[in-house]
Amino acid sequence: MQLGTDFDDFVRVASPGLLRTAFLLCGDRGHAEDMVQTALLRTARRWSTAHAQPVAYARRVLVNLAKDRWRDRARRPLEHESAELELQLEPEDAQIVLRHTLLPLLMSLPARQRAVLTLRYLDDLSVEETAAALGCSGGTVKSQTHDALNRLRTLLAEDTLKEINHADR
Amino acid sequence: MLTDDNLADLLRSSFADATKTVTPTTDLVSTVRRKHVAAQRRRVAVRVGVPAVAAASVGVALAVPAQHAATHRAPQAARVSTPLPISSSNLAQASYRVAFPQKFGTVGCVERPASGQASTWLLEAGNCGSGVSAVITTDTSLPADAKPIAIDGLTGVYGRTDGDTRTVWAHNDRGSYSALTVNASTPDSDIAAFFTPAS
Repeated sequence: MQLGTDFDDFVRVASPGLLRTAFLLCGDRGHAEDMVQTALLRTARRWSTAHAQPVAYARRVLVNLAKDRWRDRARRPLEHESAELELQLEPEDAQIVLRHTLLPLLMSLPARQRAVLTLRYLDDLSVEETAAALGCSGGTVKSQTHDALNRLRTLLAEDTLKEINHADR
Repeated sequence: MLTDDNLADLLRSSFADATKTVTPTTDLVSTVRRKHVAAQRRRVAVRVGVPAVAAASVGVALAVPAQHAATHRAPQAARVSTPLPISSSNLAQASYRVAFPQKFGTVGCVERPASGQASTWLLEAGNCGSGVSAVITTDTSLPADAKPIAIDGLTGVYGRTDGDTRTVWAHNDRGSYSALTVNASTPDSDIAAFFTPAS
């Protein structure tokens, strides 16, 4: 199928958002750009199917690519993924310090939970839309969101405790 | 203790902060388009190199009368070769096998025309005399008065119209030509369906 100007418009409008999602899914700018290009290429290849809801289609491809990457990385020795995310934030006040702490903790969540939080709170997707992007049920999205927020709360508390202990020494 | 709503708000602002400088560094529109075209060419090159097994009733073909043929479309295997890739493979002359597309039905009647060559067959779908017929020659030479023609999906083919019949010649993998004679009003897409790239 020949790609028309509607595909160009879609890429221009959707790519910044897709790139931000990819960045939070994988934590690495270079990989995020690769993933977005691959997702857009696969969307182009299936444009006759995808053009009805191209952003949802591309996002689904993106999440699948991220899953592939997580599986691949699970077989390799652990690397420090959150370095780039940490460098982007300059703490200025307490709220920002908290945000600064939150992102590295996000990267330590299981991949599925990180994806749920990214899609729900970066892309502002509903439970149903998130379920469609992840290929799971709405109930799974709700439970993963609940577990992820609980896990983040626990990690934040542990992190704060560590800082207090460190300051006491 | 942070509530779920507090945590969600924090996540939103964290995500916004972390991604505010994340924008595409390349012109994604042109990059994706260029890669898409390259990938399409690679896919076409692979398909052209693989003979269509499904259409391999070797040496037989069927022409469908215009009123019947108009309802049919060329099979995918014949259409995908439309934009031949620029590669060493198509610097050589394109070769085709003339084959009966199964979607048109089953050949039920095969006869030799009285005046035809040894490699010429008259074919009919269903029973003999049903009216759906075509003539193919699997090994012939190209007549001097055949003109190069453009049929979507085929390259290097020649044609000639004689009254109410049309004959199309294509180079085959034996080094000679195959010819298909059909009703002159048969659409090009149906004619293309009879030709499968030879391996």
